[in-house]
Amino acid sequence: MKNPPRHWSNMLLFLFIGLLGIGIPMIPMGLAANATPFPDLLFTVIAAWVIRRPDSAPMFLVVFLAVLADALLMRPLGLWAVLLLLGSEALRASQRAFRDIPFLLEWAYVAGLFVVLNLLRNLLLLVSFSPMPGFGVEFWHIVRTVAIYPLVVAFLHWILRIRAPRRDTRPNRVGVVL
Amino acid sequence: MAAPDKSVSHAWRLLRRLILGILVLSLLGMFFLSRVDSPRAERIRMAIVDRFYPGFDWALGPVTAMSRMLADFQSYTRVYAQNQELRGELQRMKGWREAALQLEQKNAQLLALNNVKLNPRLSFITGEVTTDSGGPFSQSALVNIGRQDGVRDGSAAVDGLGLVGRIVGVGERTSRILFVSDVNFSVPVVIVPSGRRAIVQGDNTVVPPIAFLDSQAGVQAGNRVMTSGDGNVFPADILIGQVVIDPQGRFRVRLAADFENLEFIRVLQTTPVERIDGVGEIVGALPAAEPVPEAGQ
Repeated sequence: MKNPPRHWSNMLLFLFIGLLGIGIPMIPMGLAANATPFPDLLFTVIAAWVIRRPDSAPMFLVVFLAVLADALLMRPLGLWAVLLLLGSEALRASQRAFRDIPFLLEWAYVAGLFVVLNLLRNLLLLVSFSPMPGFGVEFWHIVRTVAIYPLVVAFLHWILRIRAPRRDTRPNRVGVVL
Repeated sequence: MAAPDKSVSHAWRLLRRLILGILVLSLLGMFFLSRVDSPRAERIRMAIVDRFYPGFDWALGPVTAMSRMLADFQSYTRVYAQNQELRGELQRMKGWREAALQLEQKNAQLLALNNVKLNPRLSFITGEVTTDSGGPFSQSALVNIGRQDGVRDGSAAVDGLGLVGRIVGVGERTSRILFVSDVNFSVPVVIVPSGRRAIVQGDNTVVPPIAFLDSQAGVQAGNRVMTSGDGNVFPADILIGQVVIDPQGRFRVRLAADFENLEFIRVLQTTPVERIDGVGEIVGALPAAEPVPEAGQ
């Protein structure tokens, strides 16, 4: 919170990258049913950002992006949004744990979280009598999403310079924007 | 930094947790509402799409154009083979064109001979596919025409060759097409020439299965599958594809629409069939409308 303009520009950047994460999968290439679907880019962006800079990825922006993604990507309205919100909050809560662990562990954690969120989604679909995606489709979707996570992290780390703050410049929780 | 203000931090954390709870509940509520009252949820969705989509279109336009150019460029590398293929196709087409012209003339003669009144012709609006659904779980796309252009919910969408899908959400300037291959799509069909009736149900593959076939007699691979117009959902006689038989021996449809290169889509506008309710004047009033004479006697 030492540098408010920087903080706001980071939030804007998060919003922009999130919108990109919604927009890129929507490019109308390969509309046939057997075309390879795009991995869940928005999830990887939100996860990577919340782990690195939780204060510039506030809850309301996460909700906004998630609901917008649900509406634009023709998914059941609100379903994946609530899971994305819960997932991002889980990452935020365990933020301290991510400080000093190697990237491989972080990757495994995010992958596990994605699997859990998918299982929860299936559970919610089950209790609301909605049609469920096939196992194979879902499995490959998870594999693809987990596979692009390091790419997203590399993009954030080296190109946008979104990195976890060092110990001494770590922000206080008091000023964390909602 | 070392000792954060405990009380402020605590109150803040409580408030934050409360807001999180409210958000989670309202999102869950939104999901279950969309399961209970899906037309309203669809309207909410189309309102959001209408509101935010133009910005995306503006930002993604160049990217889309670029990726299309790249795909086109890749096709240059096999332009010779393609050229040969097209030549052969053109030769065959010339033959068919001749046959079609002759048949058209013959048809016109016969119609004139019989004084037949045909159904009013379909009109259509053409739109461009601007985005696909992006995820693995639904087969649909957005097109850049909406209520302002006369698109109505439930209309059929075709490309030049065959049925693509159905309009399932209409905004002012955008609408959403559910593809034939989606799990939620089904359409009554008739298989020509045998005239068997069935229903084509999408299952997220490129060859959706044919269900509820009334009899397998006379149905062969290669037969054409057309919409039957039953239930007044779609106009009749829109081509869907050809019958194929999968290794398990079930009938499926190879779709005629070219989903690989889907760029423009026609949305059909049909005038609904007029319903004839009453009897003619000459027969007199309905019997039920007459006073019942013997009630008390």
